[in-house]
Amino acid sequence: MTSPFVLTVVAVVLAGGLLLQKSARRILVGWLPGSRTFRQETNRRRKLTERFAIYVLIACSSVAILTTVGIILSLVFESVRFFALIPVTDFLFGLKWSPQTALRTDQVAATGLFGMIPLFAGTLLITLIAMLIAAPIGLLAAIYMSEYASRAARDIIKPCLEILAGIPTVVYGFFAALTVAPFFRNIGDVNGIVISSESALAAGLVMGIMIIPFVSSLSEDVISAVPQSLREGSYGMGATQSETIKQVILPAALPGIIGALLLATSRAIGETMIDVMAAGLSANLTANPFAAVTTVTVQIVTLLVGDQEFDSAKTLAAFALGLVLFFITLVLNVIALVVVNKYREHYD
Amino acid sequence: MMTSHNNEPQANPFVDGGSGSRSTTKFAAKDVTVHYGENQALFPINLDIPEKQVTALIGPSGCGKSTFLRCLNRMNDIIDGCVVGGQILLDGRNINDPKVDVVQLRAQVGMVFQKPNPFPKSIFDNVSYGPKIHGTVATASDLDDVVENSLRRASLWDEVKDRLQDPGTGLSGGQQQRLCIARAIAVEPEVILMDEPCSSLDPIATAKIEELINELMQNYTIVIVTHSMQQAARVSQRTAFFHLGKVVEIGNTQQIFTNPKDHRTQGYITGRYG
Amino acid sequence: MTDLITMPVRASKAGAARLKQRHAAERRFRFYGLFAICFGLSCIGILFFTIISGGYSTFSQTVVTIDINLERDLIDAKNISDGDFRKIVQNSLYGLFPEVTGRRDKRKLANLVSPAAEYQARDYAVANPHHIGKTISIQVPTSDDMDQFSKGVIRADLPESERRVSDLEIVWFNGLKEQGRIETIFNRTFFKSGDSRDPELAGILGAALGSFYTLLVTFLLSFPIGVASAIYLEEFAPKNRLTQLIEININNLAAVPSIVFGLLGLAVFLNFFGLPRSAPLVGGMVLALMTLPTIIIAGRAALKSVPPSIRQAAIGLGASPMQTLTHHTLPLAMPGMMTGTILGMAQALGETAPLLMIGMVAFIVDIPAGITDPATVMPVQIYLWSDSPERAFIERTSGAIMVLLAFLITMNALAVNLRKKFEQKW
Repeated sequence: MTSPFVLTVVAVVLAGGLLLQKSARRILVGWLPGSRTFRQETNRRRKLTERFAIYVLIACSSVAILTTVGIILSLVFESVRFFALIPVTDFLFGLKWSPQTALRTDQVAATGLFGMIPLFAGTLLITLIAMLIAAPIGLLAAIYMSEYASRAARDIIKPCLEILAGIPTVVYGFFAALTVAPFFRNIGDVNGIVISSESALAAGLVMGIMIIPFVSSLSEDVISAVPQSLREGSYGMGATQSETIKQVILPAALPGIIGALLLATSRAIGETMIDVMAAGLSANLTANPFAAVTTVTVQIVTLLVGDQEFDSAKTLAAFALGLVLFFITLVLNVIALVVVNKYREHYD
Repeated sequence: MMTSHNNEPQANPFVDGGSGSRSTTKFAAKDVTVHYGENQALFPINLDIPEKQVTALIGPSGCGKSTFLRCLNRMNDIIDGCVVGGQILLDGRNINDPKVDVVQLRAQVGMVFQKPNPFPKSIFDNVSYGPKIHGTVATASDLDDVVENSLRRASLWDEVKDRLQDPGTGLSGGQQQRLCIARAIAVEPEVILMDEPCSSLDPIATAKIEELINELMQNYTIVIVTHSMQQAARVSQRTAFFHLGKVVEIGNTQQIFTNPKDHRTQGYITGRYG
Repeated sequence: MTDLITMPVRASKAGAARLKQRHAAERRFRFYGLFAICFGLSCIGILFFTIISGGYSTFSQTVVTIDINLERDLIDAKNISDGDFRKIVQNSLYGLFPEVTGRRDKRKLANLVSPAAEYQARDYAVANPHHIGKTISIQVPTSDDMDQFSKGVIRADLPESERRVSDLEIVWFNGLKEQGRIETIFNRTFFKSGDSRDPELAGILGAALGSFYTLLVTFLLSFPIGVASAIYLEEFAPKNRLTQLIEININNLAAVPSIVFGLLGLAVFLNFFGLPRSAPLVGGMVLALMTLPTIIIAGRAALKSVPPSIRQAAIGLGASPMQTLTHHTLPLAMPGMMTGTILGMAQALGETAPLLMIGMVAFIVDIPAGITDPATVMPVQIYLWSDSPERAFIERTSGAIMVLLAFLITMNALAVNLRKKFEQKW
């Protein structure tokens, strides 16, 4: 019992350090007149402290909200400044992205071109490849683990797959850039296909691998939430396991699975390091998985890393891209969360 | 292999409400034991279940009656760590033989569960699920017929015929349970196992199900686990009393309830424990 | 209900064929599932194999023993550290291979050893001034290319034009080897120095300390705030629209791309509040905001798993809600909260993208001494090295990844153990 207690002390000291310091003064001031009984005084003190503690707790809870507000405000604020320089329509519908501002103001295209469509297309291409890998593999793995694998096997396989989820993205990026991409390029050379050394395929494949445990653990939760009685009902009629899974369990779990896939997609869209290290910088508008494409996240990094003055269209563009990214992922996340919550309530 | 048993019943379909001695044996359990890991849930059970009669399994909670029922179509297979021993002969064939195809066995021995468990699909799809997976129907109109017949036999047709595409989960509890019975019938089983089918239903819905059981008895062998002794008395011809994983007494329902041989049976039916 | 309707009877032959088909489908489906699992597991296998096979050699270093003559002509006895130690090292190498005469060859010969050699010689002379004028032998690292050659990464069987080490250098190297001057030792430099342009001198200590300071800030901010938020939301907050919104907000924050947090840090912490760039302080603050949702969600789950009966018992004895919390609920929920926090910290330790936004991506040689010193972190160091052209940096990258993964696996194992140890079924 000592360990939890020690941990609690640490927590209380940290969480309430400020609180104790401030309330101590109030308590002392309240204590001095000393006409009331000790018991009354303790109670009064306790109430004061507790009311104050609640305020501290509320203040802490508001940090999460402030973060969201801060994200939205900073993105919107900088984006508005960007759109004062570059028209919104040029940004949203432009087909050319080349933010290299000219050295001299009299050069052509001094402001650069900021059409985000190629970046968006690149992001979607890589996300699509990633999901084509992660969705079937993750889902099948989840099905196997929840329906077929024995308890012992599951206890081994699950933590192993979770290792994949714990590997930092920069490691995946390194793997994609130094192992997978050259591998594909060599295959392409042998078969006479031109595969860029920064192909969307390599980035997408590795991102897919990264997302597999994400899809599988979310789907496994969803699948195991399907009541056992439905399985028994189906087996009781002589259905095989795969028939039960395909015709009863998956349809029943569908909303939850869709939610899981949406969350995974949102993650793939927002993934940065794999794209930065394995996808290219050239903003090609292409659907060819063998070509190099660039993504929204790569461009944000490229625009903001290195020395640059902060008010140029170039740096502000990163915030506009960030706003788009935030908005897309927000929509996906909220839909997914609502769908999954509804689903959970349905079977709880 | 086992399809030979799907043909017409070999014995006379005459139902004798009293004795059951003239009926053929459908199931014969010989020294059936069940272990859940370390725990022994059933001690050697020997029990015959006659064809086209209702056999009720009664006994206090945890006495092993549901466990035994689940042995009859090997539903215990899906429970981790559950080991079934002994022999259960269905029409003379041991279903515990590893070579027996559980899929086929369960098509032959259907099951209705304690809590109505319609699939989250339409009423039609619920009933057509079995025929579809087993491939027993060739055309869409045949399927329509099967669904209608099954729903009729489960006396649900009149209540749902106008809303076959509505979700099965939207029906009332009693209707859901009859839907589950219709779903089981649609596979054309020979035996229907019922695991406390009325325990989550109100008295009116219960009455309907009991009436249905009486009708189904003409075509199916029914084994029902029930908590309610009145129900056992109302619907069954034979009753087996389970206690602490053993069959204490088995006999004609009338005899069990009026003149039990074992003092434990007597204690249970007179409500001294349960 | 009395009129019996005949139903289609299963034809036995067709039935048997169909049954066979169904069982085949079952086996196929089961195989797909097994295949998916094997695919996932083999991905881990390949990934780890690639990293470890490419990185284990980082932990060894090729060194050469050279005899240097601390000539009095080249060292001013009053100001030893300004002596021409480069010349001294060069002379020692020329002495070993007197046949080398051409200027280009001589320069190549001098480059066999790392630039660290002259610093080592200087440090030696400063420490032992009475040795000046004598010949001593010291062990110095070889250049990164010779190191890679020695480890077999640069292969001698390739044509000369395709490798970074010339035939002549190989001859010298083998000559040194025959004299027993070449040795492979444990690479201490890797663990005790900061970044460097020379791979053989680059280490991860700077990045590791940067990570440590950053995580310290992250922990000090996110743990108390996260625990307090979890407590408020789970124990005190009224269940209304607002708290529902907060809940969705927190769940959403957990799924916001990490780079967006970097943008927030750049716009608010750096530009608005004017905090220093590249500092662990800002990095820690950004990562704290990022891990906060993880800790809150884990904390709430931990509080939720404490059965209400315990709260009721405490309240029934007259404890105030806050006493109930601090005396009973919180101690019971703490292991779960710690588990969530460790996992959140592990996530923060591996995070790269948001730190690029706030300038923790600079080339920093000095080892940071505090939370406001410019620093980088391990994942960013990995990113920087992976981008370097030198072959030896690929090896360092893999090595750094191994160290980072070792930290992460330790943290995860700790979390799993904590969970196992305190797991309670109520």
